[in-house]
Amino acid sequence: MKFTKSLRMMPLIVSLAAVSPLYAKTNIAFNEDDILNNRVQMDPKIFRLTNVVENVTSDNAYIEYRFKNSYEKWRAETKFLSNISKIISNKHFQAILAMGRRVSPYITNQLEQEPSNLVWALNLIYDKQISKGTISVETASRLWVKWLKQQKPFNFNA
Amino acid sequence: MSLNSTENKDSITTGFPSLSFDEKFEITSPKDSRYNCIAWAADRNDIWWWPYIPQLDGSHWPIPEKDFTFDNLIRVFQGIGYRVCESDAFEPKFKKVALYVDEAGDFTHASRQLRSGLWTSKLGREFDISHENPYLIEGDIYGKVGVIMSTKF
Repeated sequence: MKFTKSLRMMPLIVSLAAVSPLYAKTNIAFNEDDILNNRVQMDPKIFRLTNVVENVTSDNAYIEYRFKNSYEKWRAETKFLSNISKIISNKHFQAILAMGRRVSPYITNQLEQEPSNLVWALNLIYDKQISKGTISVETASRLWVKWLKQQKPFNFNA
Repeated sequence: MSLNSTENKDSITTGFPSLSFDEKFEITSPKDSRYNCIAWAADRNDIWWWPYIPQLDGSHWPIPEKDFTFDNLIRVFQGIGYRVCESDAFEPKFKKVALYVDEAGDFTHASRQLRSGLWTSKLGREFDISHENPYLIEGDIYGKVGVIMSTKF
């Protein structure tokens, strides 16, 4: 009977034995008082890495990087297509749309350099046409750039 | 870089391998995203012709029916004077278009015969090209030629 009870504890004992070497190697001090008083000690290398990640994600560099990456892939994968549905449902175009109005400045920059049917992303993000008339993609790109620049500073919730 | 550089041509033949063997294959205009193949076949170079709801800036569809069925594309060209014909052979008094359809029965592309007898295609937002016959760009991207239509020049 006692032997059976001991066997029931085996998984716990094995788990603790496996984890303890990792605990011994960690640089973080697992002290409840330190954690509660924000005195957690951390390896400076880990701290620097954390800072870099925070900077990248907190400013717009990450959005810009994601936009450029998606934009280039979208262009390559849809370059021979006329089918608007297929051009828009492409996963990289959908990734641009998913970034919402935060991506507008990068779309604006791109359209300023090269007017294109990337302007359709603005139609879908802002749920509107810049003109009810039949205008070219080039004219629409110019009008969108002008309109977005008038939203000073970029008002992403406009 | 010249329009007909090896790099430009290679960027096209990767998608349309049969063009590699077409001695008449030429790039005839720079990349231009203002218009697409359907508009170009209908002699327009300022707008993107494709049915899509909601309406997007720079796009247009000339008839009320906004579906992708092949018959819908045929109706568009009937609306500008074309009639279905039997042959893609060059006839000096007739302008012809080839309409392409995929396996699902949706239209994909259109090309137009020039007065020289060669065919012209606008490849998505990329270049205009000329090619010897409409079948050279059949394949995974545009499917097959489904019908030839003609109208008087």
